[in-house]
Amino acid sequence: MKGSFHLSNALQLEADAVIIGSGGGGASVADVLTAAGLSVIMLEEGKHIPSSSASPSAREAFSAAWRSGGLTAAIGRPPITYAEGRCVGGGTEINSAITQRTDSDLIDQWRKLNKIENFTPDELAPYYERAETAVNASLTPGPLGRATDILRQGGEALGWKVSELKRGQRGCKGANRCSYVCPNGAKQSMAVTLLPKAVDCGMRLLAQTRVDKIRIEKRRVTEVLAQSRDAGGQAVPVRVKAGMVFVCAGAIHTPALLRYSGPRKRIGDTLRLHPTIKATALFNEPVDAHQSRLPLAAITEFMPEQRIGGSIFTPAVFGLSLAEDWTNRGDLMRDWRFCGSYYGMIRPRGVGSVRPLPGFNEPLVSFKLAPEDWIALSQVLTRLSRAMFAAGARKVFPSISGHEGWTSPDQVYEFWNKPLPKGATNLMTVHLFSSCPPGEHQDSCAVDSYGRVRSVENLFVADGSLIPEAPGVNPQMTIMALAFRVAEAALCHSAQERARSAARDIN
Amino acid sequence: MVFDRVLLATLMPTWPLLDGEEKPAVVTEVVASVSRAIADAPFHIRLAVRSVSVFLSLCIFLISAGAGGPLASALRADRFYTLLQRSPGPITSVMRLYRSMTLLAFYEQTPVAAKLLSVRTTQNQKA
Repeated sequence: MKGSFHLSNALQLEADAVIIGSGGGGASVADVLTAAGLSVIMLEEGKHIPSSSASPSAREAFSAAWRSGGLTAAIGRPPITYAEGRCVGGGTEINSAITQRTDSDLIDQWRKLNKIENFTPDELAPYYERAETAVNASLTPGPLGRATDILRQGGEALGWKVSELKRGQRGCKGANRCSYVCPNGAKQSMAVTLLPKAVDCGMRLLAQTRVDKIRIEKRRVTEVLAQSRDAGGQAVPVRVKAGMVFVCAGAIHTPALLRYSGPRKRIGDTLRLHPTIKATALFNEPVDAHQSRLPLAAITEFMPEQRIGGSIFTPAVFGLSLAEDWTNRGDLMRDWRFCGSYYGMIRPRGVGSVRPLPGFNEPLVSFKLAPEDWIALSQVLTRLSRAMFAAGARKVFPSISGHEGWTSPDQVYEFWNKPLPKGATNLMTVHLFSSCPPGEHQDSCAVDSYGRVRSVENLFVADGSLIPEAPGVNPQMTIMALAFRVAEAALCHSAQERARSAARDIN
Repeated sequence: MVFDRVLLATLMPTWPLLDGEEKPAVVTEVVASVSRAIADAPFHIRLAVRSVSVFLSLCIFLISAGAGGPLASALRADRFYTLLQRSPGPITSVMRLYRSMTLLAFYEQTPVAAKLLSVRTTQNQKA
């Protein structure tokens, strides 16, 4: 990307603002600040992966663009594997770019719960519009393929609401590589939308630069300390002084960095995610899911509490999904063309935490499901399996190790009235949030209504950490909307106003 | 790496069947790929994987030693893995991690991918 550069010597930089992280949150903040004429430096831990060099191999893509190559999990029973982007563009490079707004009732509920100022659906609407425009939120042209038809058929046969999903795309060619960095630049990720725009406005983007610490003195950030790499791979220290610091490193690394740097209270104590359970459906006719786009319809009848959708499918990724019970399900690989991979996700009541581990790059993440979450997971799995049979599935295999699978619709009620087996259920997520909830409720909110970290006048959070609770939808639009709002508020409030607020904060 | 190789050789799927000269090359590539993936993992995962993999590969080595042939070795290893599925959390998790990475790397190997795509006609006729 033009404007990104590598270093050869130790660097001391100054700017009006520094942004840590280049995903949907960081890029949105950059868009606002550069448009206002501020000098901005963005620090991104990962590499820039141009579309032209995006690998078709999942393992190479995971290694290049996913944090820890995708080997990340929240500790709990069961552990929940999660995925985060670590590259220029962050999570927007490895997600499906689905653009959904959070339900208005939920936004109202969050405003009341956390006492968030100016946080009505109407007040957020312009920010959502800006986010949707930035990524060209639109229906994907052309035939969507059998994998999408299965969801539609199954849902409609049961009389449930099924919605076609808008995405951030421009001329999607159906490469089926959304999770690996789009090879055509058709996915409107941050690396092809807001970041080049900000760089054109003068923003300096330092890729492969990991922030170690934010130095805070007398209620004010004085410096950001980072490590970059020179052309030979040697570590180069980077120090950045800036009037404002925006932490946009995602719901895991934002609280980890903040806690490591000083602020701890209410930070990283309320991690939420969308626990997701998968099921493999075997059909009599070929699905050939690898030849089409990932399923672009979802059963939305039970939203925002539960949603049923489809996953990206390639032979190798399918093989990967069978690893959880290879002894019993390995033979499905022979029928891979006849299989589809679908999921049910819930809006949980359980909560997790994020704690930095001194000396280690990755924090300790844990998540505990609430009893009602187990009921919701049982329900969504039952509903997902009903939909699969309604669409003509011959057999459905829930993501429960050792389970033999269901061969008829009446069998899928096995867990309707009882929780799934905790030790054998396999859960994952790609949606993480709420680790720094905003609001004026100082007992529970890590940051104020506009993302400013309590007791620090010039430190802001602007990413998924800010979403007060699990939204029940793909979070990218909400992350961007809230980040636009944080950046605008930071510009509107003078340094003196912010200093007075920081002094008033209870700590 | 040595431990990875012992372990991964027994985790490699038997289907699709590879030609004589293809198999060693695929195994080498898969081992290299899995080793790289483990090296990228967070420290606490790396630590768990390394500790458990030494134990597992020694078990596999001992189990296979008197088996009398590759097929018998594979069968013994399979039985061992089935037994492990009922073992405490960390061992099962590490096994699954190895299995996941092995399968992902295996099915992305060029000769394997080519064979997967060529089964279409047969499978369609069967259906």
